[in-house]
Amino acid sequence: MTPKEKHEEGKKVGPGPERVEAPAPSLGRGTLQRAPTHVGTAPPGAGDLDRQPELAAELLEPDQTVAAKRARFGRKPLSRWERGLLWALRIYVVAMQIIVVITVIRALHGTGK
Amino acid sequence: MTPLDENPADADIDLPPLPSASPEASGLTHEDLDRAADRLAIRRARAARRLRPLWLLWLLVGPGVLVFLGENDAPSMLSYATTGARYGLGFFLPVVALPFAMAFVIQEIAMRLGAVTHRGHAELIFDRFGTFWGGFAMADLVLGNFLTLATEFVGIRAGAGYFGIRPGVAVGCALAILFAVMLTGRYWTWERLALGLAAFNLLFIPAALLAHPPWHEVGHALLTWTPLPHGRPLDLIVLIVSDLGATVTPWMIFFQQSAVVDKGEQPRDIAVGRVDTMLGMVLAAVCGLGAALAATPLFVHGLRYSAAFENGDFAQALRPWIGNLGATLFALGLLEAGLLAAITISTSSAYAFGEALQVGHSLNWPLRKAWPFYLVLLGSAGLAGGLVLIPRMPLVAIVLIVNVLAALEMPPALIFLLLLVNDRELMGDQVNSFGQNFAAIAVAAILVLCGLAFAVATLAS
Repeated sequence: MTPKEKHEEGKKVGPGPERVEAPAPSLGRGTLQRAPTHVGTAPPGAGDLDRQPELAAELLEPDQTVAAKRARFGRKPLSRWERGLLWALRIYVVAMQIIVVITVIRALHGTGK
Repeated sequence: MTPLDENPADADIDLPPLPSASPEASGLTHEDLDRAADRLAIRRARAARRLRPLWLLWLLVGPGVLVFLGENDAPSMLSYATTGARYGLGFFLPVVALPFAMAFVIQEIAMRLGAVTHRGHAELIFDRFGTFWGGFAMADLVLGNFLTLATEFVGIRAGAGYFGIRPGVAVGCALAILFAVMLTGRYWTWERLALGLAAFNLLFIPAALLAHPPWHEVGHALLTWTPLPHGRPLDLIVLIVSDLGATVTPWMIFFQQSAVVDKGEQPRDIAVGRVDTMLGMVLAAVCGLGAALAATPLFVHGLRYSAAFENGDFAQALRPWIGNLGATLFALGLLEAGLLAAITISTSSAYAFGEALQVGHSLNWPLRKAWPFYLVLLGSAGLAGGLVLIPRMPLVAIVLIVNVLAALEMPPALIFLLLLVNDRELMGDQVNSFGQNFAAIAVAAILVLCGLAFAVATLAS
């Protein structure tokens, strides 16, 4: 089922594959400690939501809340060619970094800096 | 009906009289409420009868414009200006402009990923490909971001040097501004302040106009890619790769996706997100060309420019040809380019850190609640700022390698991006089309070919 279908179906679960439990984030989530100074700088209507959390929840997609984001997407197994491509590009990057260092050393010697 | 005219059925503009309930009971956090407030404004805009497209654009503009104008950073502008100063009007003018179209292809994907998955780029890589590949992606990002951040402070130093401001003062003031912007504790406010700062990137346009370029030659160069440049192949290739790396960089992917998530964009906002990204691309391309055109008098008058980045010497060198006003605008533009990029790149590092380690990573959190996120943001900027103040630091070498390194590190980042955006489990019907995949693979191929040409030319010279 696509994320859009899930959204239209009734906002039961967020987009993505099967999820696995993840450790809780280090922040004190699930608590509300809103600084009053934020209200004036927010778009119109920010202050109203403190008193109407149901509306706030409705405005966000089901998987858009901090609590929902604790769930992790599962691993996607890489195919053989995808793994090969990533390794090839990893070697490419390391080789290029070495060449960049050579260029810099030559440039520094050339300019005497 | 255009996507901007979309009017969802649930777009009530009046708040319904709901019974009072505590946000704690509903599991909502500070971050959620701030984001919901942004969504409420967007809902109201969608229900508006007048100026709906403009209102929506005003609310949703941000990540796209910021990433592109942030990408028009100090080393990029110096790279474009060096191109104009060394080769004048000709082949390199479209070389400056074309990468912006390449960058749009990539950034549109990042925006779509963020809006659909509500996860940052680093978070998705770690989730889907595991710690091993996530670690590699982070290592590339951390190295690239730190060196790029250092060059931003080189630019700030160079821009401030034109006004006689000492390097230590310039770097200190830049860090103070970055800290002040960071303290807002609200993504919306942070974004609007950064956008206000980004407007100063447009100063390169009047600076270019004051150089009085022959517009028919500008048009001819953009259309025909001629006259072709002369010189050592290695120098030409380095400049091409540098101009590419000035426009297409890994941090942009991480930043825009995370900013889209922090802003709370949803799949229905993708159309406006594309407009935001396109607007950023056009503005950045015009400003980039402006920097190149402003420096062409140095080529026309046969002056050989050598950058030392100490006392705003680029602006100083241009003063006889574009006047005091033009040189001042150029120096101010450089100062802004460095400052905005320092803000966006350090934020990109902080987002990626928070996503990788699963600690709070939103600008909607106040400082004391998400101090590790803000510590990375300010700490990375502070370290980079300190680096450029070390005596005898080879600033020229750092600037030289940063753009090249960015272009060379891009292909792996692009492959991760393509794997994620074609993951139907994540993206549903928002996966890339054949044309989008073709364009993105073409960008990756061009970058790899440029990298290989750079390697061959280096080893052969």
